Amino acid sequence: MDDLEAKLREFRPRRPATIPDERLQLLRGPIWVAAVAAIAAVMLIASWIERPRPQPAPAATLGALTALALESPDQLDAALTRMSGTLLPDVHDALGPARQPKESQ
Amino acid sequence: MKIVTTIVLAGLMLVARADAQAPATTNAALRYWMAFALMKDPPSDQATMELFDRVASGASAWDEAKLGKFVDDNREALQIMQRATKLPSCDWGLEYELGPNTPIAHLAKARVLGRLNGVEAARLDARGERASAVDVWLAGIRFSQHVANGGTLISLLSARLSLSPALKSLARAAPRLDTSERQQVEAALRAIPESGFDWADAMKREAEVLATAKKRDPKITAPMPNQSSVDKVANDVRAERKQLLDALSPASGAQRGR
Repeated sequence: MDDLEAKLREFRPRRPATIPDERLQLLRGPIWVAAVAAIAAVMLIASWIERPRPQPAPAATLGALTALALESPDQLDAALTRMSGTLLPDVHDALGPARQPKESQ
Repeated sequence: MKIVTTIVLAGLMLVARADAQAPATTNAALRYWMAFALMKDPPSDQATMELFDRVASGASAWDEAKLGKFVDDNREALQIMQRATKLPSCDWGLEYELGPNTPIAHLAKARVLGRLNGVEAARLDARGERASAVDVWLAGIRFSQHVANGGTLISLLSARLSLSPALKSLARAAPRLDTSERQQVEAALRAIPESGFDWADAMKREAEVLATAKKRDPKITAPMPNQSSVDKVANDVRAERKQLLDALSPASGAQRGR
């Protein structure tokens, strides 16, 4: 008798399984896809916001470049290099086929 | 009458001939601006710049796949620059009376062209064209002197960026140089100040420019460079120059031979 009671005590109450909802089952895939897309979008935006922006080149003047050289000497080289690309138009591009005047016919 | 006409015509011919043989400019700065105008700037991202600088100073091996195109694209600009370094003077015509507003755009262009010159020398060296490589390195040294010429501290600091890689690369190449090349390099080194440039003159000019600018506009404020920082840079360049001279000395060769 005691054995029977002990055996019966092993049973625990369980909630019955939910009745399958076909509409919910159909939505399950798209919900996951939307959740993953939302997380990816958040991560992308966060990384874009945190991405280090290139420093704007200082003016090509004695005062601006001397100040940079004195305050941040390790940035002088990079600043000069960036500046160089903006100072003169590229004559090769300027004389390229797209900008050459059309020959008179 | 005939005699007078003949004399006048002969005189005119002499004048015309003198015009035709007018000496070319002796001011290298004009040629450098021509080179700057033809220069195609390589990408200015950090990784590319670091690769250029490592190769130019001999710390990394030449990389034809990554750098060859940039040297080829700038062949004409580099040739103009290298020829110009042999001219006796370099006057950038800076308007120092403008004080801190003085345009010094040439320094940015010079930095990039100097870097390209350094990698061209590395390419020639990698190809076994040692004599040509030495010529290009020496052109780099002369170019740095021209860039600094008549400048304030910023001109010297910019010029130093081109000088140091040439000194370091030559020091690495020194054991492979023949006697004639060693003499060539040594002569070029003896022609420049011990600390690479005349730092004292640049500091003096810095103070003069500031004083002149203050006279024009008392509101102008610009800090004077710290002398000890300038001394440190000057000492670094002095050490680089000495290291190259040591590498060139016969004693250094004898030690290597042991």
